[in-house]
Amino acid sequence: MVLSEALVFLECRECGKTFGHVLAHVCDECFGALEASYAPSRFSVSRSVIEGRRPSMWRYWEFLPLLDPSNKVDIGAGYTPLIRAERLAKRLGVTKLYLKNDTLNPTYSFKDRPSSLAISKAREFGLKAVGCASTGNLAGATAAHSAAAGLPCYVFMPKSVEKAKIKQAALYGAQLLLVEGTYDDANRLAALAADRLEMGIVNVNLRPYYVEGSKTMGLEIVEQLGWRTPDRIVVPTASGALFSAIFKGVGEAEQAGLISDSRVAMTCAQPLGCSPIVQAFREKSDTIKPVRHPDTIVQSLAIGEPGDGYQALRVLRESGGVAVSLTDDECVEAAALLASTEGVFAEPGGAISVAAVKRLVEEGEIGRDEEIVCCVTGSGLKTIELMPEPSGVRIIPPSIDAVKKVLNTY
Amino acid sequence: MSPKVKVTVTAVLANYLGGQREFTLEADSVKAVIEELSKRYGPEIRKRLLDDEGRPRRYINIYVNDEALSHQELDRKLTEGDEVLILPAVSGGSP
Repeated sequence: MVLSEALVFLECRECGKTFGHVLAHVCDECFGALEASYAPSRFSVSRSVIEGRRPSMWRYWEFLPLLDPSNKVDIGAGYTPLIRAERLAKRLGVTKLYLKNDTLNPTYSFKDRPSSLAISKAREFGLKAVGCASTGNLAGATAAHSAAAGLPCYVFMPKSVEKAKIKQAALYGAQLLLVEGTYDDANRLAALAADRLEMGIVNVNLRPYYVEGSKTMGLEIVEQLGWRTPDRIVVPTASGALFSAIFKGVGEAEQAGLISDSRVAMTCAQPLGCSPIVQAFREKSDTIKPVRHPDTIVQSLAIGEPGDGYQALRVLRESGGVAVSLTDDECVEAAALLASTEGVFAEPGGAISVAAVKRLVEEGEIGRDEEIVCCVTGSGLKTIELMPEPSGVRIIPPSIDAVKKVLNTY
Repeated sequence: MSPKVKVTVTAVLANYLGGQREFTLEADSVKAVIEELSKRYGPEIRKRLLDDEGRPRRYINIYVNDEALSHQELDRKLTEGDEVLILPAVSGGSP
């Protein structure tokens, strides 16, 4: 059944002007950002109906702004495991820790969620070409969904992103424009391309729809906990879009009557060399100062001008959350700890949430008995060059004596 | 005589500039660019780009030769051939 356009519309976050169901991302009056809004009747769905659906982000259909289900581009994004991490919890000194393992998406990062939605919308709007500005993971996600939709895809990303991410996106068939500059340079060019070439850039002119896909991570967390929120959700943060979307998803679950209380302390983690949101929060400032030259190996989080930074600040304050910046070494160590305690192999940017819990517990900013969910957003296989040489690797001659010698050391 | 500069905007701003997205005009600062545009197309564009105190609005980004200007740099001098790009922030908004 195709939905009525009256159920899903765009609204300016700043002046509240409403727009129909259109391809736009900026208010024509005040240039504020547009976001998807829903008629209250749109959220009428019960827990049991959702539970009976296929394990995919699309099981939250009533919370997503697609009108015609036949436009859906679904290669399996979402409904990733929420696992209890007891061994890691012990190492971090907390009692109730969960991992939302989004490395298990089709292209190995959470970006499959917003990409699945954005490419579906591109199809709904009849767009002939799509693209994205990316720090790496979105490139693969957009390229894969475009391939499945049969749409040409153009990726703008800094030349410096990890090789695996470049190769992955290119092998899905995308055209890659590697910019000799920062992510923010790539983003500016993508914005111009969206304007001049009438392309659907998923995180520019499709952005109001795109970010709605990320809400599903919040909806899944509450469903997988038995329809309730944890005390705290810790989110690797770059533009602030995922961070804000998770909170929106949890709030909408309450509006829909799926949970009775949406309170959760949203906690934001950024790399020290690019942490404009954390800085504004810590300085209690209302101004986010762009970082012109990000200085971090955590490329996936190196966004100096966070598109949803102000929204993220609002969520931090409203939810009673906290924000923390972590060094590159802390992120790499967290990735190694996560792998060796729980068998989850994340990139340093995906494991930054684990580093954040470690630090915040040590500094007494979060309680040891809190129930904490760490979002783990991207796979370590794509950033293998950032990981330290592991110690458990030996080259041996093909003899049983050599094996015995090694085993005797255990 | 002021230097000749190239100014580029996107569609949502072009709504206030007679639909045009590229201009060549004479202006010695970014502030002068905005004044020149409002002289040609009416005061609406100035009101949309700058607040009551003359500062760029939070969700407007201005670049000169691909370098982002901070909100204090409106008076920065332009030279012949400079390219000024005015874009609404991709997202943005107030806290």
